[in-house]
Amino acid sequence: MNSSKITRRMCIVFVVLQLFFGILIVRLFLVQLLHGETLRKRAAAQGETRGQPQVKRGLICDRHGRVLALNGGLISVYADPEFMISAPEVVARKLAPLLDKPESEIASILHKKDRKFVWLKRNLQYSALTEIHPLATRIRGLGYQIHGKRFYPKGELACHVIGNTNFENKGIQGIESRYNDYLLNKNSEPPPEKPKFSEVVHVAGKKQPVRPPAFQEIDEDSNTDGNSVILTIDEYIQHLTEQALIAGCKEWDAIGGVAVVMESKTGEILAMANYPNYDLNRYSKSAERSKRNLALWMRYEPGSVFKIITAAAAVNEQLMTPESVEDCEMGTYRVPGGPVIHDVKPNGVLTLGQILRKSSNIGITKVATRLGQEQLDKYTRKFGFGQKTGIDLPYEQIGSLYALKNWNEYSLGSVPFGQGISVTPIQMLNAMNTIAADGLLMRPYVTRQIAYRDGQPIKQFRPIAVRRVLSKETAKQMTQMLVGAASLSVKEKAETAEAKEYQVAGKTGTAQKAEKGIGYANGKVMTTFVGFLPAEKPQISIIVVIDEPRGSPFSSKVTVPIFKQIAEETIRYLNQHSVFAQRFTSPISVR
Amino acid sequence: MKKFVLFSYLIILLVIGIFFLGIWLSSYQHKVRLNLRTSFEQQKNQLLNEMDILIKEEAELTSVERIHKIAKELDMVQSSKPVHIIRGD
Repeated sequence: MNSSKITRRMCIVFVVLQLFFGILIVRLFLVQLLHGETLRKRAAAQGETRGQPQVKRGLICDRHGRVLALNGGLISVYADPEFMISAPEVVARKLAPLLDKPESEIASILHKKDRKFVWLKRNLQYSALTEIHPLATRIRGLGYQIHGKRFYPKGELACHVIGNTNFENKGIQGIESRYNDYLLNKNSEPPPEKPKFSEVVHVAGKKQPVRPPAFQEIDEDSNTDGNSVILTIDEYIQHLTEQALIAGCKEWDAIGGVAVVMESKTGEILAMANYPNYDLNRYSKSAERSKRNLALWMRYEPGSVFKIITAAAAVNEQLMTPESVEDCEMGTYRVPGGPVIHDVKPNGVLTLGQILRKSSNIGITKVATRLGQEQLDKYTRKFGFGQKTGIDLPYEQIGSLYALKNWNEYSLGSVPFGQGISVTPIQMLNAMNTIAADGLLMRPYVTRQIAYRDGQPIKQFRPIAVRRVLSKETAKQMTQMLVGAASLSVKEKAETAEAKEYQVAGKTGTAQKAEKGIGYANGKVMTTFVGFLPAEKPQISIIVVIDEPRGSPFSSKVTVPIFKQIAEETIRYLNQHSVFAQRFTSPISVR
Repeated sequence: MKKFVLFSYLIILLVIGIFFLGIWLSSYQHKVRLNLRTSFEQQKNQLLNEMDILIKEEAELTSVERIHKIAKELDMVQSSKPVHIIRGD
């Protein structure tokens, strides 16, 4: 081969090589410089998981900002045996001490190569992350998920008000359910749909199992904290109310009980206790019966406490005054065309005040006769019966006004003293509170404020007067009559001689329990005491209801001591602390 | 001619080397950035979680039930006088 031929061929090779390098340089120039920024972003997007972070549920606090519910972080470790390359025994040896699980058990799980996703250990303390994270980074097919768990540091306290969340972090009862969206800060955009664990995605050209991202890239301005809910409940009053109720129910071997304390002028609920109660941290292990908020859910015949409504209607319609008299027929009376009704003790002629004090069924039936069915119906509804009170808690019942709707001569012999209709404890308390609030029916509420985590308010709740039911004058007259009816005064619990004494305006009620197919059951009663104090300038209204106390005693024996204990302690506490001082002013900082 | 060819090859290799170095640096930077972010996120979450644990512990320790129990054990009595709360914070 001559040299010119070689030179020509070398030239061709040289040109081809030059062209190849030229193309490479151009391509690299394009990749690095011209499209560099875009490609870098694409690479970052492929290598990272971008997503909506799990929102941390907000705090629930009492009226002073004491924390009643908060979120804590837990981690759960999972594996994808199909994708795992490392030897199961080696992985199991490393994981066993961290997961507190036998090595053999972990190895046997990892050996199941047909499985795509399996939990190795759930709900580990967050501190374990320091050791789990490096392992999950190194070992293919091993991962973990961080998730929130609700903690209730006060255990059983106000369990029916606070409520619970389910395994999906969604509120299912109480405030957790009522303000679920606020607690989860759902004002922000909804999270994008996430791929299922069983799906496989291609990341940077490689087939990889979908794992819940441990640390997602989160936009700096995205808010991962839920909002806080500040209740009207006072931890101290709630505690003492629960203690008094539980002790009373245990003493009388009752199957259930309710005690609610409300601020008279505003309708703010200071305490709401139910018996039986349960530990919020052990929700799934608690009896279903104990999870019901009886204050809103229990419908019962109120009995004699309902006489207040009949009497108040008659006074407000100016048909009677506290001094107006009725003949109580010495204990037995046949309603014209209706049933025969009895009083516990025979009475002669009584004033309206005395009818309430002696709780005469005959007397109040005659008052209702003067009033008429239409007026009785009107006032029953005006006092809020047969409808929801509007309290900001879920599952409120409305009760039943059956005997009023289907009025006949038998209704006259039952409705005026609280039979043939059913009410809830919160309705009864709210009706009594109408007298304490100068004749205004207030809407009860348990939430003072919804705030951002830093304490800045989002929403503030104020007292709402639903309607005027009674004139101020009637409310005053009713208060005087109810002071006589209660014959109760509570003394501020104090060691000093100057302890003040407060008059209570209230009414007892003992109603036989009706059972399906039997009618009124023997030996089963519901006892109620509802009242407010101080009678001259009401501060708090309280109801105590005890279901089936042993030996079916009168209410005065069962509920009055519980009421007295709650009232004494509460009034002492209110005098010592400025509980209502901070109303609707500066936001409460919960941190 | 030979020198020119060698020189041009060297130039080409240098340019290619610079470009590859750029790619390597870019991916290394990306890796470091990811690691740092993960580490900081982890620390942040750890601190937030520790704060929640402290809030929970504080709530448990200051619960009325616990204070009542301790007061009872110490035979303490309730005062009727207005309460003055003195806080250290």
